[in-house]
Amino acid sequence: MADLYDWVNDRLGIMPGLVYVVRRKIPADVNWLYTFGSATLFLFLVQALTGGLLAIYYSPSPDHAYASIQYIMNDVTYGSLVRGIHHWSASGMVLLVVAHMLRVFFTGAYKYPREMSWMVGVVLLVLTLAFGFTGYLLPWDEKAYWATVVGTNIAGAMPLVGDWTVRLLRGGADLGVLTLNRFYAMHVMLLPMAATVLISVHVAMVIRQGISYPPRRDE
Amino acid sequence: MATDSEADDSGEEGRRRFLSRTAAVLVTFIGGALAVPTIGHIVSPTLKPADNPLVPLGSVDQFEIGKPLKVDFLYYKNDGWVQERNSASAWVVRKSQSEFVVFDPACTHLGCPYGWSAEQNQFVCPCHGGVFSIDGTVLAGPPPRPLDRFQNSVQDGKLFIRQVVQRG
Repeated sequence: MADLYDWVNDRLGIMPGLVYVVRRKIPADVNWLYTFGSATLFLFLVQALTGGLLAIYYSPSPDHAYASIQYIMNDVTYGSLVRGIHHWSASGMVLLVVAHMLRVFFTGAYKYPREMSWMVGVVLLVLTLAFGFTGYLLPWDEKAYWATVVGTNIAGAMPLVGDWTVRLLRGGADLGVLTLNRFYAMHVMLLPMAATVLISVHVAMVIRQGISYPPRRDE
Repeated sequence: MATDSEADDSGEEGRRRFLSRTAAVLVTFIGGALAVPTIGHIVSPTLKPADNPLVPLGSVDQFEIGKPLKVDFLYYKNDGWVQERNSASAWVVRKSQSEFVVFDPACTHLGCPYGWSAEQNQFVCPCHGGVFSIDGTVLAGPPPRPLDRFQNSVQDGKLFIRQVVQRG
């Protein structure tokens, strides 16, 4: 390990910086509530891995979506396990990201100088919900179909732009081929790219600023 | 401000070592637990035996001994979660009451469909003059090997073949 450290460091000179990132000091009086952010990041990585695996077999067309998931569940080795992890981690990620937000809110960690982390975090919360909403349609069963009919109808309640927004979400007046395809593209291409960039920024700010210590009585 | 700057006493050091080792064990365990299904999932199609179902060709009574007959049939091929319906044909030669040979209808030279010549008592390929005997051996022309075959079996008076062609 020492040799590898020297080999990389002789060429890039970044190793002390990486060690600083891993060994950086944190307040001694933090508790388990301060792990929600890291846990969310872990689940994001799990989702990226299991999602990539599911994409090997999933087919985003109304003719094939349901059958391809049946194939994953019944014929692919560990397919039901991989899909199960993706399914439960998705719910877990929404819970953890909300728990993380509540902890940051109630400990006042969003205040100066961490307002930018908060703002990026709010966008990441919305992205997480968008992941959940777009992923829910992909099984293309009755529950997925009608949940998306109802979910996209909600956008129609907006004044003036409501109808147009519904057509934008669905790719047309009704749920169909275009809806499934655009939800899939959002779910596996656009949202992951956006989330990767914003998570990098979010984490870089945490490393730069250090985490906030819990509110103390004497301050 | 209470930070862990007083970490150099041996109790803290011991705790630190214990925690980092516990973390290493957990990471190894979680990594392994994720790696097994990951690899299994990716290599899954290579673990399955090739699909080679039985295809019925109809009653054995339609075939006369020593007189080859070309039969058209439908077969189903599984392509992932899609079942394809294909049509194909085969030359059936009845050698005896219970013994059959079933040939793939493509000449082993370049895949032309060959025919049975009743006068010559031979299979003749119109493309490049390949000639095969009734048992599939090459008698003349460019074919590099005997006719390809389907495995066959007889059950309850019906002839069945395996879908995958065996090289002649």
